[in-house]
Amino acid sequence: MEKQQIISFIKEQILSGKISNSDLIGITNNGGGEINSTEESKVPNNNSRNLTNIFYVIGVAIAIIGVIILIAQNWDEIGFAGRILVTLGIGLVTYITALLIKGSEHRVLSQSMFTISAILSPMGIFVLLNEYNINIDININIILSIGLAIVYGFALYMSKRNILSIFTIAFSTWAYYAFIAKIFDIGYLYGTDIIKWATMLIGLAYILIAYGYYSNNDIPDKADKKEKVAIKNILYSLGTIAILGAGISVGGFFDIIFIAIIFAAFYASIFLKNSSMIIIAGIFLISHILKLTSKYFLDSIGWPIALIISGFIVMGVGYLTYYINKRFIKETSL
Amino acid sequence: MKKENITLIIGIALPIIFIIIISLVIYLPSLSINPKYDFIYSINDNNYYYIKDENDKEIKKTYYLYDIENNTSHKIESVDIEKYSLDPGPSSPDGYTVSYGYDNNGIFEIFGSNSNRNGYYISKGNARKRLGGLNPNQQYYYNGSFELIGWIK
Repeated sequence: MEKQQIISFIKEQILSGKISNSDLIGITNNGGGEINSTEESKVPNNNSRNLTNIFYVIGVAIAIIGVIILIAQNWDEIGFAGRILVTLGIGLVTYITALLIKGSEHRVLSQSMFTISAILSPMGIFVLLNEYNINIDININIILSIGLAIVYGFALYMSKRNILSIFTIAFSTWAYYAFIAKIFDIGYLYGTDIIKWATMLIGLAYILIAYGYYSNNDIPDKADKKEKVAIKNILYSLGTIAILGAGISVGGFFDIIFIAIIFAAFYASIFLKNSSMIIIAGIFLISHILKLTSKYFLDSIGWPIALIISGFIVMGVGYLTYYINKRFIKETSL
Repeated sequence: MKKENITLIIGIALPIIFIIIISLVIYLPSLSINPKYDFIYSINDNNYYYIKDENDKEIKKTYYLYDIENNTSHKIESVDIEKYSLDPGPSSPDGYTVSYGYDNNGIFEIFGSNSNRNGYYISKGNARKRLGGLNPNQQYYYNGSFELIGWIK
């Protein structure tokens, strides 16, 4: 049998499902020895790995809650050194440790460490600034957020841990809003128009980043791929909520344009094959219809008729969302 | 370059470009504002209630000198005003005016204004600059409480 024939034969067997990629890897690893394809031998291994990962995640949650309670209950007793040690100290140690754990078998552990670090480090910096009576104004916000974005962006570049993309994006978003607040000389809490437009734009940026970064990777590692898909979905959802949430609150003439944006979200959900995006778009379409009905048609048709019409439209949108999701997203993504 | 890479670059660049554009839109016009003359103004600190003296005639006001170079206000006594040679205005000798305004910023004007940036501005033509020294506690200043006494020549 020629080499090409052998390859074609193997391809056929893979496509028919008789052998898997892991069987091939097993053959090459064992140097042509016995095929390590018994599912039974893998299941306990995977189960123990999953159990370990769950313990890591629970550990992260417990550690963070523990630190917060420790600081809150013993703020005065532990003193300045203690406060810095449990926040910035642990943040720094976990950051360095996570960077040093490079092997793929420590993926969850290193990401757990990075999570602890990303939560405790900003807390530690605020504690430090508070100790030195430094007013946390908008300039401090800008410096802090950019600094943290660079630190965690560097860790992302070095370690390629997926969780770091979330932290880098989060700190960059903080920097983005701090810059806008600085330029317009406004507080974060003011519901000004510029914040709404800025939020819509950052939402669009999230969607583009998610599409760009998480669609172009040939990812051989299943666990890595799973994480990337999860982060992609988080960014798609946050982006859609940001665009539609800020857009619905603009009002005026934009109410008309907003309808087109909602339908663009429906189209994007099909294009990107993303169920969460279509569900969010459906919720916002229903909200917008109710808003427009109460704003423009309530006086002319009255409450009862408005409720009946709105009820039917809501049912229609609900079914449309379900249909599009089933027909164009779930089926095609199989 | 792959399509995905382009979207990634656009996604990262979009917020940065947005910040650069709004910075330019806000800061560029104010760069052409370069007034030279300080001015004296009065503020009715008690807003709606005029303070009268013991003769029940004179309305007491608080007077300030606005240092245009440093963007600061300094309280002065009414007797000190006579020491200065004043141009009553309302425009300064170099053509600037001070007025209460709303913060409609360039391209965002069509989308509404930013109410917490309302305050006093110095302007010439279409360009204007917020008078930082006149708006430290905006809530106490409202349109109408400000009165320009004159530009110091």
